[in-house]
Amino acid sequence: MAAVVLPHEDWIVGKHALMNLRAVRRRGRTEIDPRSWRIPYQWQGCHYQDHDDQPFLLLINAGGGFVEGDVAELHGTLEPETRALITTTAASKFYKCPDGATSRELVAIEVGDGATLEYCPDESIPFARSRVQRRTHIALAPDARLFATDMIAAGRIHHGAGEAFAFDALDSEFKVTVDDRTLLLDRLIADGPDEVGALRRLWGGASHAATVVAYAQDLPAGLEEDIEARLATTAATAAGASRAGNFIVCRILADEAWAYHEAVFACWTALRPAIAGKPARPIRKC
Amino acid sequence: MAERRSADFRPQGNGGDRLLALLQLANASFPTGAFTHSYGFETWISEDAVANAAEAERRCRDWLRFGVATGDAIAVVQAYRAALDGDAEKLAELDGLCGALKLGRETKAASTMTGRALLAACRDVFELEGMRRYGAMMAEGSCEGHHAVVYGIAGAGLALGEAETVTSYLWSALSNLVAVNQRLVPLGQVDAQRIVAGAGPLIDACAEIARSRPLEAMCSTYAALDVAAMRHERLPSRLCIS
Repeated sequence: MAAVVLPHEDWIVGKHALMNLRAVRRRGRTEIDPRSWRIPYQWQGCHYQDHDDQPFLLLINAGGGFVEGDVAELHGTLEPETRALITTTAASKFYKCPDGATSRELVAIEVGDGATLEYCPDESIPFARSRVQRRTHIALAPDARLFATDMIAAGRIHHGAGEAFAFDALDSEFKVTVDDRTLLLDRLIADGPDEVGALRRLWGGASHAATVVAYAQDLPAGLEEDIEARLATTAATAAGASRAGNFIVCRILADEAWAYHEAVFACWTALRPAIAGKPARPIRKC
Repeated sequence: MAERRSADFRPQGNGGDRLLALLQLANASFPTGAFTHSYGFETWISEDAVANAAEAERRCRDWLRFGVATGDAIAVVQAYRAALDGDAEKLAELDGLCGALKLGRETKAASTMTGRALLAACRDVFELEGMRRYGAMMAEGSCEGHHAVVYGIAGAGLALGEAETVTSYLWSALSNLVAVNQRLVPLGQVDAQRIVAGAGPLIDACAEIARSRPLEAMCSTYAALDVAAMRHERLPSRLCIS
């Protein structure tokens, strides 16, 4: 089990959020204990939207967004045989960094044997002139189960005359390991106008990109074909699915936020019965 | 922990002529099978998204700059250095990184298929001890044999310079992909060679990127090509493996 991460004395209160979570089996269900937290992360408990043993956690960052130099760290452990769904209450908004400091969002979750994690945060939105570092590391035990998403918008697409690809730097890493072996390292580094400006081409003209992953030792055959067929009915501008053994990766590109949300939900619709044994459902956030 | 045995990967050269060794290694006829891989370009071509020389050139250049220079080319440089250091553990780490950074099944497979073919050819043609050692590591299961890592080891084993090794890797990668486009778009021979010749400054810039960026910055950001590579798996009619 991961050790609790404690605040460093240099961390400025209110600028360095911290949340340590632990999911345990208790009273015939999974319960999530906040082992420690620090503002602007807030702890308001979990609830059971599926009316079963799986808690839904809506992670709350009361700061509303990342001002220059802000940091938020989430460290979680799902003990064996637990299951939990973790999402956020809103997108992670990264504001401008006029003095050149970097804002950082760090997520590290360990998932034990027989445990199931559904990790579905809202997207990250790097505003104009922001400098952003994102790390999402999910460490799976061999017999764990995972559905996870990583969504990035190019900026405030409809703000004023549009603000896409106007950030200064984005260093984003979405990593999944199984038994310490790295299955996926989806890393996007764009620093400076040349690299940031090229992203519009590299995303095929789209302004939203998402990666969806799923892992379980018993994923049924043909799931990736089913996902791609479902993706073809969405408004995504381009989308594909690929499978290597027990691991499925989907890449989604879209012009609008609603379109990649729709496409991600299409993936979840195909994958959730196999991962969690129940159908996908709209996640209620208010 | 893997042992450090620098003698396993030491430079051997090719009868003393580095230039000839380099030309042979980078030649399209060196048996790696690279000419059978489009990395997703065949999907674009089948959809007419790439239908002329200008579009093929633009996308090939983007692939080189934002897919290879910041990705596999860094692995080539790091593998070259690790081979000279005899650092087998580092080579295994690089091999794992090369696989993890490739999202699609076919893209991963293209890297290991060409890597294993390159390893076998370098082992049999040049009799490089580094290739035997790396082949043993693959047999032990500590690595899969990704092309970039094998190429870096080959460059070190043939006593090429680091710059020669990574520049030739980038040139080979581009010229192979242009050749695939030449067949599928199709492009004329002159158009294809003009694309390769015109990429000279870009290849130099990419080599500098690969030599100066740390391993922690290794990435591939061509998301649209990731999608095309995934969809290639289910393309009804195809000439390329990836």
